[in-house]
Amino acid sequence: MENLLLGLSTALLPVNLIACFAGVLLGTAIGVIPGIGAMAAIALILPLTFSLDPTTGIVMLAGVYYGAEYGGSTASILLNLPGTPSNAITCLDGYPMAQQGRAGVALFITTVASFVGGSIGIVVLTLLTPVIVNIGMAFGPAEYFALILLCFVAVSAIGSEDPRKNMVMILIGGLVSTVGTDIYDGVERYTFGFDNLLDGLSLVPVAMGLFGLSEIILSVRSASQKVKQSISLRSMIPTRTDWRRMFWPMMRGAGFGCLFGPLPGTGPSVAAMTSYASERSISDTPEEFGKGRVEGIAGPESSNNAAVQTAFIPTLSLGIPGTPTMAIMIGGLMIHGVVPGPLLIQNEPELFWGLVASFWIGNLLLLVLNIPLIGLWVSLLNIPYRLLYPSIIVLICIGSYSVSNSTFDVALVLIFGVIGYLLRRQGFSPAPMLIGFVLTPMLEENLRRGMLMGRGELSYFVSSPIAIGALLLALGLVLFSLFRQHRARRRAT
Amino acid sequence: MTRYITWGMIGLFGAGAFILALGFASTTGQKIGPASAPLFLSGGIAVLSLWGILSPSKDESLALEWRPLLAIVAGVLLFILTIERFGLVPATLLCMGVSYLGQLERRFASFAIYVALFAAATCLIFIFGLGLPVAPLKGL
Repeated sequence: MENLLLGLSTALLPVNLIACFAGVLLGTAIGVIPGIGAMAAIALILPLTFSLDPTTGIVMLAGVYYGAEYGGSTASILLNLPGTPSNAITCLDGYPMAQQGRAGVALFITTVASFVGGSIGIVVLTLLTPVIVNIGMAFGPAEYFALILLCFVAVSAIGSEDPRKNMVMILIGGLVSTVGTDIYDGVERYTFGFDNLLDGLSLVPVAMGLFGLSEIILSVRSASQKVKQSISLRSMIPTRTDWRRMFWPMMRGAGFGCLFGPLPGTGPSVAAMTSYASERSISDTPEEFGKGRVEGIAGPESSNNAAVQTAFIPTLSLGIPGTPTMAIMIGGLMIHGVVPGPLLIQNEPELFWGLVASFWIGNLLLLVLNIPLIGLWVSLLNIPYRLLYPSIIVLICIGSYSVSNSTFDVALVLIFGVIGYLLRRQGFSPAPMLIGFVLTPMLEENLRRGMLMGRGELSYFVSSPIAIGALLLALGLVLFSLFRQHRARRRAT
Repeated sequence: MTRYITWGMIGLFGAGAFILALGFASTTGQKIGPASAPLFLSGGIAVLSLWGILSPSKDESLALEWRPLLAIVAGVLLFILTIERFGLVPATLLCMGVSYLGQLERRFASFAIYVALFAAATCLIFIFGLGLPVAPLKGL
């Protein structure tokens, strides 16, 4: 309780309130634009936070994240174009509801479900993080090495039909992270004589290129669509039957979100898909799903927002991001000089609890912003994309230039943007590349420290139950993935 | 065919990085040297690529769309070349103008008004508001 009061006193500072409001507003505005996801939104806003105090900057970035996740559902419902991958599932029943003239109700349900899921997620985050921090205090290089390895395997094995593609992306991201001067031996790695590369590559141009620029190149040809119906406040009020139908799916969805959010490799998309599948399977009329069922929106939206909040548990308590978006958040924390991990609560309680308290405020702001301001978001959707995308490109260029007032970073954005575009067109997701980029330096550091502590004995890495458990889980995931591939190949023949 | 080329390119990248990493300092039993991570990572990329070539999965590739790609690359390159030499306003105008050619609609009049307003707004926000150390216009 004392901690939450400390957090509230930090989050309610005018500067932090403004940052939270700006983050939620900008995140929703960017999330509404079809094709631009939460990762691109955070990458775009990240440079704007450099001049801010670390707590204020992180509060703003977190607001952008859940704002973008929320905003994505608006385009899903009104245009059948998901703003973020986790909102794709909302299209299935949201768009049919809009076609039936119930777009307002669908948007209202989305807002309420997002609020409920987000709130339950924050409660779980508040209760669980200190417990995990206490466990994390005892972690050494062996435990961290095993957990990061588990994270790599989970990201590879889950979410792709061909795990090799995700694995190779992680390795490429890891290789890119080794560019620069080795901090232990002072050896230059892949610098090719460029002084700008001596300190390594910064997260901002890599993330902005892979997720900002490449997404713009991909979406340029997408035709602009106009929202055909007007949404009034009155049209948003659900019927009593709608309320009854949405309650339990929201609760179950929040449960799935809290379960999948902290797990590496899963996150909001998997939580939303599982919630939708479970609602469909327990329904008496599963054939009506996909035709405008309230449960098909309430469950996934609640689960995706609960997952967004609980994804912060491993990120803040252990410093290990489970999803690419959290990898950018970790990068953002590090740029602000904050090292996430078990010592964060001890060393910077104002930041940690202030961030948690800002989640409550941000969720309330989303509720307040999105119901009365729905007309604004609809009109934003009506701006022709041919005007929007050149503006976003300029903002990406200015944002990356402002990192170190150098055109070198803009050139890096361009290189990674083209790489990201080429990879996506070839069916490779660049998201695991970012996980590899952020986590490989941590993996390498813990491997080196572990080898020193274990006097060169690899057995050091299997010297604790947590490390053994994580490595066995990773092995299990590898076997599961191989089995799944084998089965798919047999079915194909 | 495309999937073989993609895996092949990735494999070449891995092999090239592996050869370069051989030039870094070596690794001893107790001490993991600066070459270990690059060797392991690039070697892993090369091996996975070989596996990808030998047993390729379903082809998920899509044809490249050259027009948006080239227009945006040219737009960003112009931004890089002009921001320090000519200032933020010309860089914004050129970048937006060239990027606009990535799509097929041609409504230049409305776009010109929009670009002019947007360039003025970026100057106000980034130079005068956030203190970005770039001149709005110079050398012209």
